[in-house]
Amino acid sequence: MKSVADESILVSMRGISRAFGGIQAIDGVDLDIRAGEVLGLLGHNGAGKSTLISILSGVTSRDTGEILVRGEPVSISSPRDARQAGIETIYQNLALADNLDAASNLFLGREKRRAGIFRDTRTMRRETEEVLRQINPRFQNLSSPVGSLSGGQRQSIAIARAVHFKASVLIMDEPTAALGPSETALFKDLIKHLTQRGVGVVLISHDIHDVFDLADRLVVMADGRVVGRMRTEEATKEQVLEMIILGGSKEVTIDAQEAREEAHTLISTLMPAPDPHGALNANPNEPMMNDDPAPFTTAPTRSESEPRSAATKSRRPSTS
Amino acid sequence: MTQVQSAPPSLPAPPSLPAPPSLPTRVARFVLGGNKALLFAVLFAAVLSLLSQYFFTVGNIASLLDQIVSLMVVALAYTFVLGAGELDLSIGGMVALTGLVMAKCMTDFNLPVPVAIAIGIALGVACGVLNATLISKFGLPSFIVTLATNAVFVGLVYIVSNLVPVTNLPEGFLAIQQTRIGPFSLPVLLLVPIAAVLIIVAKRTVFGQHVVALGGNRDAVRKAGNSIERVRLGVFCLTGAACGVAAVFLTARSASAQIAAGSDLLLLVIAAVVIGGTPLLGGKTLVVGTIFGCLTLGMIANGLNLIGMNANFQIITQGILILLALLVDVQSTRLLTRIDKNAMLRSRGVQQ
Repeated sequence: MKSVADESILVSMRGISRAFGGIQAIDGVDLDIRAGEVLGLLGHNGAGKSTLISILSGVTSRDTGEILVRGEPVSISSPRDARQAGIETIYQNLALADNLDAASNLFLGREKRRAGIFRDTRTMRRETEEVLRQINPRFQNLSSPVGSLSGGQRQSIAIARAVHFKASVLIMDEPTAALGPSETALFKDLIKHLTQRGVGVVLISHDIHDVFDLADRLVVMADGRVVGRMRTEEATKEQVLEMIILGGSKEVTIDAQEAREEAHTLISTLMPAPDPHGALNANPNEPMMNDDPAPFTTAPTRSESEPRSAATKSRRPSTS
Repeated sequence: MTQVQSAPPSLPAPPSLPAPPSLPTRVARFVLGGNKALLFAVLFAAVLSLLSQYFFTVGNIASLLDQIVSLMVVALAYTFVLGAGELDLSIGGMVALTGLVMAKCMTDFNLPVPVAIAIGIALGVACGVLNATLISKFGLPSFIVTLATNAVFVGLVYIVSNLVPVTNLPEGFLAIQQTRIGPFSLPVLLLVPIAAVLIIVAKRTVFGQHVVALGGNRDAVRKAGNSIERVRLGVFCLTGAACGVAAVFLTARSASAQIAAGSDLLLLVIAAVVIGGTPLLGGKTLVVGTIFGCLTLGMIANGLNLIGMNANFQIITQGILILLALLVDVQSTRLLTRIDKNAMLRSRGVQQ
């Protein structure tokens, strides 16, 4: 089943499932992460993207399925396991200790030691300086606590962690959410730089424009399943948005044609002009962030169903 | 945020680079952000030496240090507990229990003094293990768990002692307090290496770093693949051991194991650590600050004695002074944040 021949696959997840209570958050998902490639993971809130990714980074456990790193099955049951397998994660909240400086955060949990128990502050500081210089030339507050830094600088530290420890797979959860326009540009350069080195990047984002800019391949999730896989150059934003919105919800397919039309009008209102700068901070992601797809899907059917429900109401007294 | 964005977007300078802070800002930052406990200690010392000519005598200083030696031992270790964002309310119970068991070992079981001391300190560590395990296993807040274990420890003291203090301790044990080098007793002198080791642990070791990280962001520590449980075990065991050591000093000083030993320790320890600059919610371990925090508290008690205040009023005054010191500490931190923020806004070229 698995093609061993494809050596560019760094990590593959096979048949991953995970339920929380009665809800199947992830349902038999396969995912391949290839070297030098940016994989865009798209979907509503609650589609299962974050759960899938937190399984890969060892924060959440899985019910079924296996994870292969370079073809070898590995057990990832803690963040430490994931790191040892070369998988680094940049969390949306960045998971930095705000009261510590950049070097302390970069090496947190993997401190350089002297005599077994002492911190080798000087080496850590120097290596932090080196790696940060590559990533963000404007970074200079090496000794101030990271809580006082800007979103971009804080993210630089999280990325520096991945670069310094030579991660082969880098997972980024909503990386551009806390960045300004110039920081976003810097970030995009950095991603290209990393993929040139052969790092596989997984990008989770609500911002479809960012994903189209950066990703080579797209995977769309809905209701815990993968509903679409495509190469970015073969996909259109409309197509992807449609998948995100219509996704796996079954009742929609009955009125698929109407719903699709509705979705298209919605899409055209969301993406009025191809303005690359305005688009970054425009609102296309806002309706997508809405957990409830009802406004898009039920709108066309409501007018139909209203007389029907009125009829049932009027029928009820006569039956009883 | 909106103010910042209104600055021209072409401005490439990072926020804190231009225009070094003005002189008043720097002075304010030094006073407010520095070691406030040192400031308090100097202040109290100055006031007391004006009020009483006996204050700055060697004898008085030595007796002041004798009074705070147990407080200091526990407070130094407690700096790590608070620094990690935890609370340990069971230190009173641990001091009483370890002191009592130590004394019983020497009187009832005739064990040699060093063995009894080792048993006492080991018992303290065991209490710490119990606290940390309960907190980690059941995911309960540390203050609830330690409040409960404190009740258990105190209950054990009542049962073991049958409400009678243990006296008739061997000479070898009492010698701990009576041995003096110059004007200072052995416990006071032992404080020096203890404090030195803990300062190094806080500043230089990986463990010290993890304690501070835990107090700063628990989630970051977990996602960095570190064991929160191990760090927690470390700080609670350290405190347990410190309670054992404090019990040695306290028992030797009063020549008996008292049932109520350590009952007034909790407030003083937390006050000393917080006055020393370690925040109640963690994220910093200022061991040196704790030393001056203890000195400040010691001077409050000592000074009230020297000026001959009624003992009952002393307790009230002590409480009020501790409260004042904490208030000044918190308010100055707030002020410092505001000064820093204003300085940052100004350096970004934004009108406040």
